[in-house]
Amino acid sequence: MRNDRDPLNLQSLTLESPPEDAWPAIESRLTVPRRRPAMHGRYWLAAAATLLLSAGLALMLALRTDTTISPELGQWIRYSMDLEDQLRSVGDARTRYRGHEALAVTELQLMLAAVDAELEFTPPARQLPLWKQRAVVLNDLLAVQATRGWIAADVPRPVVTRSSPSTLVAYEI
Amino acid sequence: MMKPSKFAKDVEPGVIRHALEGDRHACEAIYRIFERPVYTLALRICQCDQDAMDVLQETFIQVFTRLHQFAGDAPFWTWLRKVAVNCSLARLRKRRQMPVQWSDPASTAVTNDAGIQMDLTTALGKLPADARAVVWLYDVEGLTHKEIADQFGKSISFSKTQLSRAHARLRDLLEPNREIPCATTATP
Repeated sequence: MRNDRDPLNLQSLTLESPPEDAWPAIESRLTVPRRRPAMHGRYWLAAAATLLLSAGLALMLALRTDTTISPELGQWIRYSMDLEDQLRSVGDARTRYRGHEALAVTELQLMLAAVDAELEFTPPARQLPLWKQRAVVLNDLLAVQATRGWIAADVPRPVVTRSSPSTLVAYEI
Repeated sequence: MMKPSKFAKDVEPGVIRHALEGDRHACEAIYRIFERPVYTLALRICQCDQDAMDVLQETFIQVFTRLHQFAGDAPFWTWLRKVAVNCSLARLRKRRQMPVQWSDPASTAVTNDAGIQMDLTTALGKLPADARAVVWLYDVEGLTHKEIADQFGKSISFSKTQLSRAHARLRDLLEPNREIPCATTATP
């Protein structure tokens, strides 16, 4: 009987196998999959904490393994870790955010992921602007939380503005 | 009756849930189920081993990083296949902008089978890229003209035309000595 859908019987072609196992390469490129809180339930902080945990690991690795990091770059990396500690310390995965806040946080998370992705392929000598940008994004994330009154008034943190990230140089480590 | 797509494999909801939570073993389990269908689709559309490997990787990176977008209102494999088709067509578009020496399609064929398998694979490789993708998606994967048109961002007529040309070209390639019916001429 003539098969109108597949008249040439292309379905008879067998499945091909990849010449090599692609899984190790895929696994190495994967960040930890996470839910998009802005879309489903808005449990955004759990995702942020997951993101930061993986990023923090990368930071520690960078500090531990790379001896070519300049003192200034090291200062910014440690500052980034400190900001992440602050975010983690105030995190509560059960708290919901209103729509516009969830959107803002999701956008910041995406920016953070983009910076981290770029850092992965950038040699230390050219990383400084990226670490500065990372600090600004993390500060913005903290600021969102501050507006919700999650940060206790006595938690010290440097004030950073998007327009003048260079003020961060004065940060005391 | 059409055979089901080779993507049509069930995945336990628990495995998907674990993958969503970042369980790498669950992710790998999903990869192992679909690696050959994805690679085969990419190879048939792109006709290049290296491109197919790149599409294989890109597909699963997207699947696992966008797993939260899977709504669960259709079988998981249909969603994964859509990602694979998108990645394959994106690779085709990229190749159009970057002329390179493609591999000989015949070299990727399974040669230890009867002649028909080799012939089909070789003939497919001789089709223009769009026609090849359309005929594969329609005949083998069972997509509708509407779905194919959406994937290409073109009209349904585009899909139908490409399919018709692909069938005609494949018949020519597979049956070169086929007699073509023509109108009888009156003899005096």
